[in-house]
Amino acid sequence: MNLAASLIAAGLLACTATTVLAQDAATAPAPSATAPATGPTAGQTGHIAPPPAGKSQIVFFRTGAYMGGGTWFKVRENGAELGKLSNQAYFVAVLDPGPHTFTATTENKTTLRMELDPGEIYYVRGTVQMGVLMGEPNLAPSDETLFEKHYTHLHSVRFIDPNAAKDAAKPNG
Amino acid sequence: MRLGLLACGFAATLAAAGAHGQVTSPVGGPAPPIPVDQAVASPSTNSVLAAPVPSTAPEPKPCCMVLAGTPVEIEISETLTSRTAHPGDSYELKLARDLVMDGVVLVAAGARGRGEVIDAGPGGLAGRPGKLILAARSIKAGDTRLPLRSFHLSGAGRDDSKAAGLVIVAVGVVGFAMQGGDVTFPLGTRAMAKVAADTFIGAPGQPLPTVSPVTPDQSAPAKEKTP
Repeated sequence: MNLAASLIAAGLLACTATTVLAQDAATAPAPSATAPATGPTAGQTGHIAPPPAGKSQIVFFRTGAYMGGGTWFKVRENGAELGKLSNQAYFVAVLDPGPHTFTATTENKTTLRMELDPGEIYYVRGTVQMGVLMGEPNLAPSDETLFEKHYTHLHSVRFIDPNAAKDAAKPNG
Repeated sequence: MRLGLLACGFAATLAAAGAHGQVTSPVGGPAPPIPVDQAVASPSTNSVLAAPVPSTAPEPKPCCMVLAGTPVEIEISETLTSRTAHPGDSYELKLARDLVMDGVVLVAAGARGRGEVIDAGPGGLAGRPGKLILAARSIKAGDTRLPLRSFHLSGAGRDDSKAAGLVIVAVGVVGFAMQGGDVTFPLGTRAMAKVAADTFIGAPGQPLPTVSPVTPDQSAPAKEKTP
């Protein structure tokens, strides 16, 4: 009898917590649809400097979360690593304009296609979802507002320039 | 006791479903379209919007060059959602506000164009959010196609992964069935884009713009330069 009562109490607690989480999600800053994810003035007012001439920038970031907090994943393009996103990390990737496909893998793979235009800054939020054995990565378009909101809690990690890596691999002469 | 356990499980599931039942109207979705007046006043967009068009706007005159990088406000002409859109899909859009240069309306609001879905994916199991990234390709201005770039209309749906994780812990695998939110851009959603390349509006070979709008106090005709 005591066991049944305890289980019911645990269930009610779970219900309450779930509802609270749902409310948190409902009040979370929504990705703006009518406002541009990154406007032409992006980077001039925030912490991210404008990209070099003729280049595009993507800010990959991951906000703090308890779930999957110990899981990290690498963001790649065509197999080349661009950076490693751990909990509360970000890196700024400077890339050539044009179509790009980014991937991240743990036990599952997530893909994000983007089309970059010169002089623009884009924001991509990485998260870790519930998986069977371990957390699964997810990359989704985000905006400057969310990045700036969490900026003070984030730490910068290294961006590995794929072009620099290619140049380094070339034999001299 | 088993009945108690079952009831407990169902209660938790129902509560979660009730809390996240609005899958088709996600929080992560867009706000309703902004009327032009409000859009101008909006702090998120007013820095890039073109100047308000006077009520006595002159007639469009096919004469001028639109410079690359000129901001234009675009409105999508159909509802797009991450649940049904696919990468590569084409969609209709139109110019939301007159494209005005030196007081001359070069392209009137309502000019139609095409866009493309760059990436799309529905909300997935365990609360994974949907995603939708759009691009604007061009606007048709008479016989001329005005190429566009830098269309920033993208978003992710509601992320329910935390709630799904909690339900998985409390109830079990049922939590994996929780769907993340989709992102929907309703008909009329507006965003800014830029002109991709210098483009003549009008017949090729026409001289550079020398036409100014005719106002009631300008009775004399404007002088035209001869080549």
